[in-house]
Amino acid sequence: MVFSSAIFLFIFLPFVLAGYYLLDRRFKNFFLLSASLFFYAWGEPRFVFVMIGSIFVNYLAALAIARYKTKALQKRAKMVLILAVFFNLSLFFVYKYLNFTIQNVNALAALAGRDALVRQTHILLPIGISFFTFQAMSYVFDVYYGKGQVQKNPLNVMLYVSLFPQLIAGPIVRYQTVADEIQNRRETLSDFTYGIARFLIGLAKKAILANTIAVAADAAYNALAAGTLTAGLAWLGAIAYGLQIYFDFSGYSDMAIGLGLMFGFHFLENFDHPYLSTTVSEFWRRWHISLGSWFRDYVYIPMGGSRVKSKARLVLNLLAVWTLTGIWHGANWTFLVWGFMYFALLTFEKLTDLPQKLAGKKGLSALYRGVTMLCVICGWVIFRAESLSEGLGFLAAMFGFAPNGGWSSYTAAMLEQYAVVLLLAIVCCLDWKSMTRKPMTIFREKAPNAVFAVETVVLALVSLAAVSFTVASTYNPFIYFNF
Amino acid sequence: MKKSYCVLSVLLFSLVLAVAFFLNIVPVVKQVVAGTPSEGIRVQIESYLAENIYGKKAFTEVYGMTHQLLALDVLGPFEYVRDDAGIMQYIEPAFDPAPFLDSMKELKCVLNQKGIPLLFVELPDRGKYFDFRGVLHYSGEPLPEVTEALESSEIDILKIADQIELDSPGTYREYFFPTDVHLTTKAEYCNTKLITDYLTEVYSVPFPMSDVVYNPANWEWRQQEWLGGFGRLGGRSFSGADIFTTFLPNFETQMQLTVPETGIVKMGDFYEVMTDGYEALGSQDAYWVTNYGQWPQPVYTYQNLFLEEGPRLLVICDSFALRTNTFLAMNASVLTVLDPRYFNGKDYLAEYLSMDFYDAVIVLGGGSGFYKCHFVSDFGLDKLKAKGGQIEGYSGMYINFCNNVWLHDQGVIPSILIEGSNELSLSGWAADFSAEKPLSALYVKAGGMILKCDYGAPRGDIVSYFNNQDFLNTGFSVKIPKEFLLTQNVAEIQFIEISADGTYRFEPVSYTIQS
Repeated sequence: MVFSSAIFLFIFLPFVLAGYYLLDRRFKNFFLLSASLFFYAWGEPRFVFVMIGSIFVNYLAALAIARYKTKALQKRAKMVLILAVFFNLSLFFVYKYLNFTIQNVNALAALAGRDALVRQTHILLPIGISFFTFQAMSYVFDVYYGKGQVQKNPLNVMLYVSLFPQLIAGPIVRYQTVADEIQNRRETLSDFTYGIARFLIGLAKKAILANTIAVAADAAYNALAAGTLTAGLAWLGAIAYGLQIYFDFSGYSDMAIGLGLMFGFHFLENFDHPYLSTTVSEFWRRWHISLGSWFRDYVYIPMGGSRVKSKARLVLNLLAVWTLTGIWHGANWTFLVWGFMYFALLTFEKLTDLPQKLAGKKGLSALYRGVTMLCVICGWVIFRAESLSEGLGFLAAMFGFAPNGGWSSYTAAMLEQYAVVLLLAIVCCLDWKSMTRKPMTIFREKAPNAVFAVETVVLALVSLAAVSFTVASTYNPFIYFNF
Repeated sequence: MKKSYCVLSVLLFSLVLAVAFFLNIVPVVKQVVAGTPSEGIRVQIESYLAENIYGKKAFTEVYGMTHQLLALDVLGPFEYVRDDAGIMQYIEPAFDPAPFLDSMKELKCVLNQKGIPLLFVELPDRGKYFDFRGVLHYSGEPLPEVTEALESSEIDILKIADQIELDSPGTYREYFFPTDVHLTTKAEYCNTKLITDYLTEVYSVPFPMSDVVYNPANWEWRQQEWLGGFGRLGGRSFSGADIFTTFLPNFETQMQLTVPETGIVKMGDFYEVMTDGYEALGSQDAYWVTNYGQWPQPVYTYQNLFLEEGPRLLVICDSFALRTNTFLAMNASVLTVLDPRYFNGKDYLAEYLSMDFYDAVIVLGGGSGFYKCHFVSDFGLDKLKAKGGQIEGYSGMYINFCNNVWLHDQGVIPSILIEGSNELSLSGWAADFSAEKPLSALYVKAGGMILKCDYGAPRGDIVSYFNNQDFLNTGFSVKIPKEFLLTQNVAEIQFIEISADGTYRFEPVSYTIQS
């Protein structure tokens, strides 16, 4: 079940909201948990038990850690932590990377002229495993590091990990963020109101912008496969994909945050206008914030982070984080290369101290902003490709090595088709809230009713359009569903 | 935010959700209660809800309007595109029309022998105002390679585009439905006149009812707004609404319809026999194009009981001729419609052609599904050619396997089948079609050697195909030593058939061995 589907919008959400607010507080968590498990089971009836099993193991691990820590048995607590991490990563590896690993082992054997060494598996990937596994690990880590109280009630742990707003595609919610809210949250009218707006804006981003732009991106990649890709179409497709993935993922995050607010949960922001970044470092402080901060807090900082004695160690830390970030996204060499690309760029920025040097220098800063966006777009090309050769072929086309030249009537027609949507999408990447804060504050003071009416009408119209796309359209992938 | 605003927003949102829930939960519950199988129930509920969602039409209109606002001419994942004439085109992947072309060549060969005219009707290009013309294939696109191949096979082509004027977007929208891939009723009515006039002029096929049928005053036109298959995706605001015209004759008619596959036999007037489902007149959702004819059936026949001396026509077509057929049927004694998309491996065409009954064969299609169909089988042509006597090609026998490899092309045995084997092994079937019995014997002549084939193996498939139990023991097999073929430089082999009455003849086709 996805948020932008008829069954979610017209059946599941109304039912769950009604049930939640009609029930007594004693039963709200249980009801929400049941709804979340039903939500997951609707799409993955078998794998819901994998998730439940994973959560239960982590619950027991956290209990053991807490118990050992209270008895000052630090070594045992650490051992349990290591075992829990090993369990989580093993589960993650089996479901996500085993097929890929065997495929590559056998490919190496074939290169050496030998038969396949291991029988190829075809294990299906449970939706959201990347998210719920990392959330479960987050719980165990936070208990170990004392950042959150252990939950004695397994249902509360289950609720934290499986809460349907963020279960399938994030944001990766830290246990410390919602630990208190699991038992002591209060739903407020203003939160609910803001949650509605956030959810509807996210739906619009996903259904109207992302799904529409996706057609342009796919057309470019299809042209590559058909051997008709021109440089112009390649650029169009690359920019389109960059916008698609942003609106798809940020739209989903908006919906998740909005839904969380409706039930009294306050998730942290996951995107902060990443395409306004001036450096790659800044880009990763604005893009998929929950993932970046997870790797920073649970991998980079424990390894020493930037406060290491040698530059070689710093580079090693960055390599570890970006290798893991790359492969977290999927079992394909493209993701590894994409992660490595960011390792190279971020290492360059850290070692040269470039962000600090650019501060205050408008011209150079603007130039480097362009370079940053170019790198990000090229990165998305590799990210989107099915294989390295496809990604490199696409990049080659972008930079003038397309066998079909720079332009074609098809390219012109595609640009004409999607010009308005792409322009709208680019405009929507700007931080309009900050840009209009002052005038809006004045308007709200002078004519609050009018502002409310206009905002409501605009939101209603946009929501109607978004729902119409959901009802009428059959093309509805969530990119990050692959994770 | 002010508390009153929050209250208002929450109430509004809750109200909308509640209304949406109660309007849509009922069909979902009905679906569950209806006892759908447990497996796939989730998918069934989701797809049922998607189809029956309350207000789907209104949502579709908003969807189309939003596309207009975003200056998009594309609906969905680049499958439906609106062109500059406002006509929606359905994008299809490129395909190979070889099966159709092969079938047409074979058909031409057979009809030549029988002296029956074959006419291919080429429809105008639907996509004249389509920006992606020449870049993307779309349904209804004329295929130059098809035209070229048919012309080189000397198949007569009636190019409708040469006969009518389609010189502006307006005339295009009168000829083609903007929201459906098919032609308008008026267009098909005009096409029918062009086809019959051509058959009369070129092949002297008489159509005694032309003056009646092609007099517009003799027809009642019922018109209503209609959204075609494409239009239902984007709403009327996206590409407008079509006007569907139902033509009903106001002269007396008496027809009979026979649909062999379903056992339907209908007798009555035009309205009762030729159209189907017009009780739903007034419903925009009824699919009006297929309310003419018997879509989706592989074969059906109309008999015009008021016109016994009229021509008998065989039409091979897809849904682009559904209404053309009904108008043709008014001007013919018998009209048999064959839609190869639904043949499912059966050879209806040979069956009907073998009756030697038809005065003309018309081929008309617009969709890729039609051009990907192979609508004649080799078995069928065997039968046709054998019955006609010694015709170019083979008669009465068929080689199925060469060295255990299934053969399609009987003219040549590929050299690859000789390599790596010690013998040339052939098997197939052969029968005496004159006597409708198995042969007495079958021999193969290879160079100076004559080998007797093992003959008489049971072939139940031949029995089924020809529906003749006497053809059971018609299977043969023979093995010719490779060493002999090579040392004697045997370039071709020929079969000798000994008929039931002891007479012999050489199989007209010799089989060339390539090495």
